[in-house]
Amino acid sequence: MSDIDPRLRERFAAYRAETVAHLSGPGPDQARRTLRRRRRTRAVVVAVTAIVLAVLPIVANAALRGDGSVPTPAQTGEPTTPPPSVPAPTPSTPLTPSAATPSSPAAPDGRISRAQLLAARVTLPAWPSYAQRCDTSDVRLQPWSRAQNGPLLADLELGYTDLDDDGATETVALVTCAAGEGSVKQLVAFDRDERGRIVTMARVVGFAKGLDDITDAVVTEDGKVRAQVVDIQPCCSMPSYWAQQQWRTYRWTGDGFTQVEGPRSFGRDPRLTDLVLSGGDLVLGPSGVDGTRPGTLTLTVTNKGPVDVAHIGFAQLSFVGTLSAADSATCVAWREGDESGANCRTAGLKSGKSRTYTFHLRVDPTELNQPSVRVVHFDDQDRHWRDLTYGDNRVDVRVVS
Amino acid sequence: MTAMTGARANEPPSATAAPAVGQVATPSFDDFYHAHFRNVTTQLGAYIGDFSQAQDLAQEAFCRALARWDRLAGYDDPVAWVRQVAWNLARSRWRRLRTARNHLLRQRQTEATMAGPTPDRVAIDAALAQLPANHRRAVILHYLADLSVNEIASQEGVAEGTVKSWLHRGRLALAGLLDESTEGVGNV
Repeated sequence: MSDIDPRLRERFAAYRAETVAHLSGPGPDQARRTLRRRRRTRAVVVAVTAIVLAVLPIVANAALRGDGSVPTPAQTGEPTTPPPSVPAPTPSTPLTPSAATPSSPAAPDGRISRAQLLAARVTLPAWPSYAQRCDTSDVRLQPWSRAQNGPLLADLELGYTDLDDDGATETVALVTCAAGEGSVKQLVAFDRDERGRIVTMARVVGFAKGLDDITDAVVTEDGKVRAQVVDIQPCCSMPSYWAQQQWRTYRWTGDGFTQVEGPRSFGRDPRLTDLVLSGGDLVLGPSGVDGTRPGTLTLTVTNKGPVDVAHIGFAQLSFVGTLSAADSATCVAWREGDESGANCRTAGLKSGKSRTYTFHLRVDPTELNQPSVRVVHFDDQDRHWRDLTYGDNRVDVRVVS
Repeated sequence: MTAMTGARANEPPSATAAPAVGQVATPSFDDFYHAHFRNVTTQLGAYIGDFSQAQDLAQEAFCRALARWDRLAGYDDPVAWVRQVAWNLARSRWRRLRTARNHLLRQRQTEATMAGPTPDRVAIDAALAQLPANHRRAVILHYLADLSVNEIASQEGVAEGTVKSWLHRGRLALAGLLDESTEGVGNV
C-alpha cells in the first residue's frame, strides 16, 4: 500500500494540473450578476400585509351582515362606494388594526397556540438570499423536531403580549429553516384578522451582516420583544465558544419593528488577535539509510495584537515530517480532535512581539506534497481561536536545498 | 511594531502583500474565486465525471458564497464551505433540475473546455467511474483536494475509520485499474 500511495499522488497531481489548465470558469463578475438578478426577483410580498389590513373593515362589515357570505377582497361589491373612500370611517391613521377598527367591540385575539400556528398556512418575511429552499408564501410550518427542508417552528416558547397596543394579544415565534450546513432564523410576530385567520405582522429581527443566529427571545408586558442574537452560527468544525451573544430589544412602530434598546452591533471580537506566520524555508540534509532526510524548518510568528496569546500552536507540521525529540520538548504534542489542527504547542506570544522558531524534523521527501504550515492561537484555557485577518496564518513550506 | 515590519518583509511572494488598510482585512471575493474555483471544479468533475456540469455546480456554490461573503471571509477555511456546498448541490435536486435545461449547452461546452484529454486523464476518469461513490469521494478529497482523513471524515459526517477504509479500498482498486489500463506510468 505504501508504494501505491506516492504513485497515485503523482498521477492525481498530473490529473489536477492538466484539468486546471483547461478550466477557466464564468468568473466572479458572473457570480455577482447572478446574485443581483436573484435579489431583484426576490421582491417580497410585504405589501400584501398592508392590503389585507386595509380591507379589514370591508370584510368585517360583511361578517356583520350575518348572512355568512363574505365577499372576497377582490370583488367587494359595494357599487356606490369606490375603494378610495373605504378608509373614511377611520378617524386616525390606518395600517394598524387598532386604528382601523376603533369602533369595533374588540381587536381580534392574536394569541395563537403552537398547534394553531402549525396548522395554518402563513406568509413569512423574506429569508436571507442564500437560503434558497426556504419559502415565504403559503407556508405550512413544521415542528422543529421534524428537521427537514422548509421553514420550521423553532422549539422556543411562543411569546404573547400586546405588541401594537390594540388591547389584544399578539404572538411572537421563532421560525427557522435549514440552509447549507446551518440554518437561517427569524423572529416573527403573528396576529389574527377579523375572520380569525392568522396573519403575519412583521419580522421582529432576522439575520443581517454580523448577526448569524437567534438563540432566545422573550416578550415584555409593555409590548416589546427582547431577542438574544449571536454574531456567528458555529457549524462544522467551529467551536461554540467563538460565538458572542447580545440581548437587543425591539418595538412595533406601526409598520415594522425597530430596535429600541441594547447594543447595535458586535464590533470586533475583543478576544481575537492578528497572528502572522512567515518564513517556511525547509533545508534538507543528506539522505539516511531509510530514505528520510534531516530537515530544518524556520518559521516566524508575529502577534500584531491586540490580544496576548497564551500558547502558539503549529498545525500541519506532520505533513512536513516528524519532529525531533529535542524539539518535541519545546513544542509539545497537542491532543488530537480539538479541531484546531495543531500538532504541537509552544510558549505564548505577547501582543506586538515576534519570534522565530527553528524545527528539526525527519522528512520523507517522497511524502512531501506542497506542504504548508499554519499558526494557531490558544488562550490560557486551551481554547483555540480564529484570527482577525484571514490568509496570513499559513505559509507554504519551500525546500531550499 | 518594528518586528512586524520585518516579519512582513520575510513573507513569501505568494502570501499576498495585503494593502495595509484597517485592522480587519478580509480577502476579496475575486481573489478567493480565482484561487479556488478551478480546484473545486476539478474535484467535483472527477467525482461526477462531467466537468462542464461540475463547473456549473462550482459556480453556483461560489455564487452562494458571494451572497454571504462578508461572513464567510472571516472563516478559517472558506473554501471548505464552498466545497461542501458544491458537493451537496451535486447530490441535490438542483443538479437534476438543471440537467435537462443545460443539456445542449453542456455538450457544446464540454468539447470547448475540455478538449483533448491526455490518455492518463481518460484512464483516471474511467477508473474513478468504476469505484463505489463513497470510495470515489474519499479518494478525490484525499488526492485532489488534499484533505486529511480527519477533514474528510468531518465533511462526510462519518468516523475516521470509515474514511480510512474507503481510502484503502479505493486506493487498491485504483492501483489495479490504472496499471491495467495504462502503460509507462508504473515506474515506481
